[in-house]
Amino acid sequence: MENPDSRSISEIESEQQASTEEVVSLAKNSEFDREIFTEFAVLLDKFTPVLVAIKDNEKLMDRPPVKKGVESIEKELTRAKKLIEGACSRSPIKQIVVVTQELGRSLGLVLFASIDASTEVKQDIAALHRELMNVKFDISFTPSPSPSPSLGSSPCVIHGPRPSKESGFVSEQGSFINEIEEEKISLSIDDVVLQLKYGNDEEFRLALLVLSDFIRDKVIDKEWIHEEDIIPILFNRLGSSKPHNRLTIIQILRILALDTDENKVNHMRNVLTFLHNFGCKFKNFHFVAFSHCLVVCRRK
Amino acid sequence: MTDVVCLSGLVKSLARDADEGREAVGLLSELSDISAVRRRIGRIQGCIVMLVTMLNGDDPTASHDAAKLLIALSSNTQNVLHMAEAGYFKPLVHCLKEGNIKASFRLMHVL
Repeated sequence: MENPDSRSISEIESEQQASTEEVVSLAKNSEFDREIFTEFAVLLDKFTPVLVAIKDNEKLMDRPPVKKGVESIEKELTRAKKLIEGACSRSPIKQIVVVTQELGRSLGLVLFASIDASTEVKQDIAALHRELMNVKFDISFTPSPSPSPSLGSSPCVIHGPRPSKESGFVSEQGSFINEIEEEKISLSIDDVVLQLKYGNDEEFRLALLVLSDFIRDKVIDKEWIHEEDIIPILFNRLGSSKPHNRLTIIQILRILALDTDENKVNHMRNVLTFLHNFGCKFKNFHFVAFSHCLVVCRRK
Repeated sequence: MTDVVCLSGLVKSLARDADEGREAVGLLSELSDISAVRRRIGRIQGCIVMLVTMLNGDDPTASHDAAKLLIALSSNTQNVLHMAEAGYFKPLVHCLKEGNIKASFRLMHVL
């Protein structure tokens, strides 16, 4: 936040659409690894309708975390552009996978912050997010890969700003992303609790990502969170975690707090409907309804 | 989420990174609907000073949430005094103008 971006999210979105189209065009016309870049271009093409949907949703655009996520996507698109322009005889496949998954993470950030978005928009974003995160390019077309594929030693390395400083959802090093994704997929609900409690920073970060996915996809409910003492665990780790983990913790807590409020309102609505249906039997209907509402409100 | 240890953790987050502070003040603001939370937050050292700093900061979301939380906390006279000490006099003036005689007298006495 040291350098606040004065552009509105609408401007960012428009620039991004143009940027996406530019990267798609570059990818299609690349002389190296044509097949890979074509696949990459097809994926990027799917960004445009999602960006338009975000742009059309005013509620969504007002949320700073969404803006942050959109800016993060912008950075990744710039990296992709540099990657394609700087493509050389050594296969940049690893880097394309890294960039694609970083784009997926940035989109995940947008998705995570899109509480107010319509189900349709969220589904579209989630579908593209999944596709980007599980990307696998067909390497049979590429020339023999370099023996040392690490990002740092590759001449095609991108020295752009790493988005890890910008959000709590991105990884530290691109070369570890594949491993992290595999670990993420293999984590069960029990593993998540274990890693949240006792995992080191890296394991904890992974568990947080999976937990946020579970909450978003409604794999876990309020009862499970209560039974497993997730909230005290998160608060316990808040004091000792790394900055991006802390940010993710608070974002998860906000969603849980919001969930509780929504549950409260729904519960109150159910009580009122119930009482209304049987209201004729009660002389003091309003008093009973009010008492029930008070009871619900006092629940934490 | 509403016990003093958890709330203290969130108050510490107010002073950290801008993003973290924004999320933390948002969560505290949402939790401030609960009266026990309001009572506890006001007692955490440095909380009101941080909220006043955020209120005057550049981040509109954080500033809005900080304002909402400060209004919620201003129902307590002691908090109103802490706010005045931190340079935010609006609740104090409001309390002297609109508050009951007992609260006004107490504030005048402290001042």
